[in-house]
Amino acid sequence: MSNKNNKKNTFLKRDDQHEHSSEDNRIGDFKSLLFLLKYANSFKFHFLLAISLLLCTTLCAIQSAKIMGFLVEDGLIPKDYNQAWKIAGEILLLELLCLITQWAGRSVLVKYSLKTILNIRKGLFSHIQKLPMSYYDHQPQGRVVTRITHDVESLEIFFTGSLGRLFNALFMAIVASLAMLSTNLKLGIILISSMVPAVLFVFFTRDWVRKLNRKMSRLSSALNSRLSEFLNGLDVIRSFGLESWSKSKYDEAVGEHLKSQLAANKLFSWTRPLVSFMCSLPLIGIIYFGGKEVLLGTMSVGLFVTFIRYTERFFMPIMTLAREIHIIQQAFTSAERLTNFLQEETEESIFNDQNRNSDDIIISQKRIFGDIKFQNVSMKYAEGENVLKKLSFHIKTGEKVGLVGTTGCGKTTTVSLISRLYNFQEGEILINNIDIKLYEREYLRSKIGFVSQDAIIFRADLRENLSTNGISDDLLLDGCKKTGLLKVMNDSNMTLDTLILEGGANLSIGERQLIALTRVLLSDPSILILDEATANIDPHFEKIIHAAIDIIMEERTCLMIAHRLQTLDHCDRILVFEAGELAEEGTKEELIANKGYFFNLQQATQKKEEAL
Amino acid sequence: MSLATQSSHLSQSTPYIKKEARKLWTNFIWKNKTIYLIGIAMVMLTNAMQVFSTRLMGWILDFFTNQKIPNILSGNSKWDTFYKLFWFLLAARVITTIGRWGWRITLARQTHRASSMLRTNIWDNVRFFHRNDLDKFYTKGVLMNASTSDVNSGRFIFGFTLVAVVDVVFLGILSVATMLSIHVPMTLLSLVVMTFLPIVVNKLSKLEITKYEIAQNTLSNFNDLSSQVIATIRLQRLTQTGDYWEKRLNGSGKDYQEKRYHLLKTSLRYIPIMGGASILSYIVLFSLGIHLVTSSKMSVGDFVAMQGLIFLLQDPLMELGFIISELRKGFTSLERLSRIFHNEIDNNLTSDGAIVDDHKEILNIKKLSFRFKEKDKFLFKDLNLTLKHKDRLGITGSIGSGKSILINILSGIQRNFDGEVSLAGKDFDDYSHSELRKYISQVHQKPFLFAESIKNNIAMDQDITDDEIWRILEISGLKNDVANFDNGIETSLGEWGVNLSGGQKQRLTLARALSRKPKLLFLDDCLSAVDTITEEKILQNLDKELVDTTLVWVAHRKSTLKYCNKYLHLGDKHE
Repeated sequence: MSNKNNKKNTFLKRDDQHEHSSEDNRIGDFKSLLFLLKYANSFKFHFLLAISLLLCTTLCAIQSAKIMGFLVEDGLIPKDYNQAWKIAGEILLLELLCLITQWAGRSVLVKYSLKTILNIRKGLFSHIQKLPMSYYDHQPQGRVVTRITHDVESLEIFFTGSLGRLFNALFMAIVASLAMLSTNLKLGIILISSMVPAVLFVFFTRDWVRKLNRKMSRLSSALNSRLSEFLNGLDVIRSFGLESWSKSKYDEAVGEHLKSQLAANKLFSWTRPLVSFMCSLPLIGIIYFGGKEVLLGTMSVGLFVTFIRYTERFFMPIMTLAREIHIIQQAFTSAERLTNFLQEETEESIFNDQNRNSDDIIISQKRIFGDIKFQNVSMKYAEGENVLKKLSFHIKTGEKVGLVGTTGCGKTTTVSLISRLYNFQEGEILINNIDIKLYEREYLRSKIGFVSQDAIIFRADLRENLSTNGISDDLLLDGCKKTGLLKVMNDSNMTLDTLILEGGANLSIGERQLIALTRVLLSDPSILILDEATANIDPHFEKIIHAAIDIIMEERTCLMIAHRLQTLDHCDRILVFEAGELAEEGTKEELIANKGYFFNLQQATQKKEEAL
Repeated sequence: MSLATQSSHLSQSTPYIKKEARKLWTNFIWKNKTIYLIGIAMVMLTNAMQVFSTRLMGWILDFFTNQKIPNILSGNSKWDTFYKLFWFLLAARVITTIGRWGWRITLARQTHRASSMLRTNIWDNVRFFHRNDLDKFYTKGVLMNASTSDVNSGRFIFGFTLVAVVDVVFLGILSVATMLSIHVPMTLLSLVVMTFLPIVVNKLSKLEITKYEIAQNTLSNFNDLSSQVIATIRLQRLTQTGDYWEKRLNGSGKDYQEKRYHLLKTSLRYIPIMGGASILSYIVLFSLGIHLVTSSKMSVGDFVAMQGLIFLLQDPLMELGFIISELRKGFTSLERLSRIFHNEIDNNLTSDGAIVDDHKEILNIKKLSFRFKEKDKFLFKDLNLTLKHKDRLGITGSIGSGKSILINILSGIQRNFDGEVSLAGKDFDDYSHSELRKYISQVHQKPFLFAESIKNNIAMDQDITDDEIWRILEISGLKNDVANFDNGIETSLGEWGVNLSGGQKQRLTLARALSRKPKLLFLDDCLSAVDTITEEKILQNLDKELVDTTLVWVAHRKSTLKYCNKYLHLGDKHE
């Protein structure tokens, strides 16, 4: 888009994915996860099934550990062959059950987690279409992209991987503690409390780990964008001889990333082994305290073995937690960001709250003829000064009006307001003498045809590129004929079935523009906005495009934004903007006679033409 | 995925490349051999302590059931022995912890160092690739893939995989040896039964990698689409095409979800494999052990120790399966990277050459013709032209008439053409790339800016004072725009920074070219998005400031060319 107002970009919102960003304004990890869980609502029975299966796994595992002690105590020490086999058989059966429930439980969990994630994705995709333009103006593009890609991915990794293990770990820890407490209260308490250092350690180092991980991923994506940027800009690098410069820049990015990796390596080098050591404390505890009791004869050897097996089952979960804490944290952070994102005010709520009374009727049927009236309209983008200052003008149905002015004068803003991309603070805009705020936005926009310098062309056949409303081929071809696209299609052997590549890669700029124009014609708008639609088009196509534009303009109200004055020859009237105000208005001849701003523009252009 | 077709060219590794990949690996290790040796020693220490503490558990049980234990562990009294056993266990655990720290800080650390080495090498070579190679074989997608997934899997064989190798070998040998010292037949039987483990794991991990790659490719397509949607959101809203994109995103998301499900289902198969291995171990242990213990041929302590060891052995055996596939994957990635490291580079960009001397005739063009391919029509044919010092040449012509190609030829970027072009009396090949670029600058039709500050985008590799930057901005008609930014020339651009308008971008690229004070400057229709008044001001500035510079100007509209003293019109295609 050309001609954007720069002011609105100067207060980009703070980057909440930077590792140093403070954590105020948080809605809480857990709450946000709960918010997202509503996307899992329709699968709650499946999740319940998965959880029950995983609980069974834990119970089997603990039971198996318990009777291992019986095997030693009742089978092996008394050398009772049959008794030993009876218990051994039970152990085998339990282990088998353990395996089956674990596999089934995790499979169900994975399947429905993925479905939930897909639901979240769908929610996000529909949300991005509902957010107001003002939201996008204050967010760097990269961040919005991160929301709908990486944040969902980290949630996905958590849901499909860690969550299953976390359930296992949690159940195991609970059941093992219960088993130990019920078997030998004193020893149980000693063992469970010997886990405390490990848990506390994981808990207190978590922010450390999080910061390092975030830094690593930030630097890693910085590194990748460097490479991608240099590949895109290789022509510039080559024609300026910037090969060494690019290398030093790239190596710098690699070095930064390496530094963060090595810092993480240093941290994990001592924290991971230390956590393992702390996790073995219960085992050391059972040898010491349990061993003493065995020696004193207050505890049987079988129970001692059972306890060893319990502690083995017990510390695995903590190890898992330590290893995956960053995934879990990342998921919580992402969940929070996604929740924030999904709770951003939509266009609907922003536009409705301030401007509509509940008893107003929303207009979505009435034919719009294209009579546009601005009355003292003032508008600013969030903070900052007014971009439009008490702007008033009237464009009658069927009039062709040119908008002229330097960059940032307010002409793009004016056009955006007619399409209701933004709200305005003061004044009124009337379409057909009805307040613009009373129209349903979708309907209003469908009645406005917009043609800009860059045409939107997508990977699909030509038919779909022209209309997604299921218009019959006859009508489509009729439209093509009117704009001259049909002739171009015949010349270059295109049919409605021809596959158009992404961004129209297999088309010339002129062809793309012609498709966009035909699309507009087919949508039959009442108001037409042309934003420098003929720039960058070669002379051959320029004629065709101009002819097409003439046809489309027939009987429609037209607003033309122009940088070049020749474009304005067809205009009935010209509005000259300066710093958000209407500086001049009138026909071309009147304006020249006025010797004002437009006259100067005209002179500058003419001087150039004469010099040739 | 289009990568499949591209990689047909890229997928065969010649013996030469295979050798180079291995050399890359061995050289890196050899250069850091001390660290590697310390690392390996640390892994072995850790393994020894792990096996020792498992064995110790058996002795503790033996001690409780009044069986014989090694002399070194027994003390004067029962309690004395008990404490001795306990301290040994504690010591073993502490040493294990130190050992783990040791291999992480040495051997595992090499993983990261290797990844940085590989990444640095990529751009070091790619920056000199032939344009043709970049367009056809090493497209952006392929190279980005190399720098992310190939580096990611290639780096492991420099560190973590080696840890695993030592682990498997040493822990395997130690466990087996200890088991053999307890009971030979039982050890052999468990080994035989467990051989299935590495085989199955290897197979499964291969399958997992394939599924992973498919899922990742789908994901990156999906992510590309996502960024595209966000980038065009405003236009979508104005043209009412949002629904279409939403539908496409949903479709792409569903596609990815399915691929991801296949992957996860594959990964979940490790559960029955590991569980199966445990059950088999139990069967071996019970079928022999119960008989042996009840008939007093084995102590209860040995039975428990044996159980621990069998389970300890499961890890290296599983690991073996992973290692095999990790090594294969790692070396395949390394080969792919080696192909990049040894791809032919454009010698014009690296060779030495003469300095450009003062000369009356800056450019001399004789019978210059160009066509893309042998059988194509000529874009232009038999051009003759001499450009003297301070000349201003204007070039016009319709789109597709070859204006940009002509500029690439005249600036020495494109060297494949028919006819002769000399710069200051010599052939382009006689000069070094850096010398040519010092002499010639170019402003491209499509403005390309780096994600840097405005100042850095102008100065690039030069040292320029702020005052000079502002002066250049003034000439390019951008001074007022930049002065309006809160951070002035320090304002950063790019995805995370300020969005400039098309016209502002064009003026900034002009400023970049001006800052280099070129003797010969090419302007390729570079003010098309600038409004008329500003354009006129810039044209005046250029004419005034660049007195000593020879200018070549391409424009759509003749109005832009009023300061030129020579004109060239490229017409329709020549037969």
